[in-house]
Amino acid sequence: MIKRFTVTGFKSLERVHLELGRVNVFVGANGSGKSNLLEALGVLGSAARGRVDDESLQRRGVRPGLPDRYRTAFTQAQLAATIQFKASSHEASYDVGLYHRSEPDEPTWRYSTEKLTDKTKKIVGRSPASLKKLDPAAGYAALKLVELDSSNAASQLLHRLEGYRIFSPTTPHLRGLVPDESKSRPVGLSGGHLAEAVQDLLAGTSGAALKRELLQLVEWAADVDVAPPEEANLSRSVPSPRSVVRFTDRFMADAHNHLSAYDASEGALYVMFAAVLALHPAAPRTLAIDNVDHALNPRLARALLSRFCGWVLSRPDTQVLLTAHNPVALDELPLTNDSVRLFTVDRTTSGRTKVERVRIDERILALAQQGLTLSRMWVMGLIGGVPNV
Amino acid sequence: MSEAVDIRVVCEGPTDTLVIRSAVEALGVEAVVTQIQPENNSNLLGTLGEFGGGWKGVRAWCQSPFIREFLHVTLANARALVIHVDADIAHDKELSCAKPCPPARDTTDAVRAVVTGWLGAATVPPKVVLCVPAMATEAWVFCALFPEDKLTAGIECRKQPAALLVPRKPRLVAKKKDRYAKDTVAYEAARETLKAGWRTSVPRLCGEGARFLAELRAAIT
Repeated sequence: MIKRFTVTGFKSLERVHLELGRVNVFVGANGSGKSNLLEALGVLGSAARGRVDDESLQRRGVRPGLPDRYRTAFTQAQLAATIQFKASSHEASYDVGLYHRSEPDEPTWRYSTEKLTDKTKKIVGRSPASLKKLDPAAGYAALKLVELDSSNAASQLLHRLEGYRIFSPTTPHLRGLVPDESKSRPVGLSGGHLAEAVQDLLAGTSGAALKRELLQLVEWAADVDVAPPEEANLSRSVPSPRSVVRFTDRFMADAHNHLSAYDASEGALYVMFAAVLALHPAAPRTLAIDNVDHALNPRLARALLSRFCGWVLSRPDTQVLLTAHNPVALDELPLTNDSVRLFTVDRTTSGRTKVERVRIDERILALAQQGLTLSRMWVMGLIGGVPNV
Repeated sequence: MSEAVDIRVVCEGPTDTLVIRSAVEALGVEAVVTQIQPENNSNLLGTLGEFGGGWKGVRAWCQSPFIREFLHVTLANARALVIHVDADIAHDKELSCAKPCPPARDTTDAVRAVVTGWLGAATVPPKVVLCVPAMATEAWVFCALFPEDKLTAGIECRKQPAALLVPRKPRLVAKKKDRYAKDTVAYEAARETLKAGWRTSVPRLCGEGARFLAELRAAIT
């Protein structure tokens, strides 16, 4: 697990340090820097893979942009020469400094510094003085990875980082109306290939129990399965996929009660999507979902996040970073469990992003005992992470 | 970069928060400034948030049993809580605590005592900074934007300093029937001018501005 993550000089993140848990929820105003945080980890993931360019960043869900715009550039502050990232697990750490040459036809970032350590030794070290010996566009740690035993803590950290993906589901992708170009497994970064992933889950040994949990969240559905398109009553005007998520509407008469992903409530699809990322064995071990509560009724968002935490914590190795906007979604987060952490994200008076963990201390508990929900505390501005609008 | 401090603001309206934020910026303090009252969302009856807006919203917030009991815990992670009301509320018949002006301070002192009483306290609680412009925040805004204007003389005793801003550019305030409508976008656009004003003309021309700035500095630096 990534226990600590520090980023310096990336977009609005002049210097941000995070102590992460297994489930990490970030709330804050639009434009406060939540997505920047998720993307910073994506850049480090690309670096861990050995190359940082548009293609490797997009594969991880990082929004493509001019490299020059990635560097922190506040007024009255010196433009950062390099962007620095560091992630640490319990026994290893990976530290990278990246820079970009301004030539417009130069798509690849260069490594300025790089350091990979495990608990006993430094495995990789490079400094600007190493430029003559090493290809500055190639990650040295990624090259060294082949020499490391898979049980080595540094190897595991690098694999976790390079596997990190940012998922940003959209309804057209979840419905299969728009092709998801990403090659991500088990679902596309925008939610494509959902049916195949749901099929895997429902066919697993815990499939029946999971189906019950899903149906508790989608109360209008009596059943959910995955069917070939010829059994899913698809309109001829929709693209024909290999398989389709199919719901049985509990209120409709037999023969009229099957709804495909094209017809079903989008909330149900977001529920399936979250379940896949929490439980599918092919899901990245560390992943992010941007706007996890998108398109969900507040009560469904609350129930889903609560269930989602349970799913993630039921697996030994999964770690997620989530952004959310729906206050009610916070109310059933099991925050007294130290593995589940809530962070508020704010912009300071000069525009710098500030991230603060909301600690569940006697202060919060005293407010809760008075009947004040976390969502209310958030909206009231008592824990930060709200815009002044 | 030093760690940014958290400052919470309870005030009459959103443009007051912007003026207070400019004061924070003028002090050179990196901060997250969060307006917690009024909540800028209206209910079906047009009431802002749980407590309403304006000075009565500030009063309702301060007098809320919940806030009174838990003020110290809600402020645990904050460096300061700024509570703002305009001194002109002293003329409201519910309060009737206005004093002859000049000096403006007699009236602001009376209002400060009233606000302290709203909190159920005898003295200003720790971390709380009272912000009582005489007679309204727009006096400070006017002095920041038009420091050379002759109307800055005696401005702290003027009951409606917002009226001075109506005919002037930038258009921060418009007259709407019986009230003055303040344009948050225009206030935001004047941010640097307001900040510069807090460094020069506002404390020079407004004694209550100087007092607020000094108390804010003591609380957050």
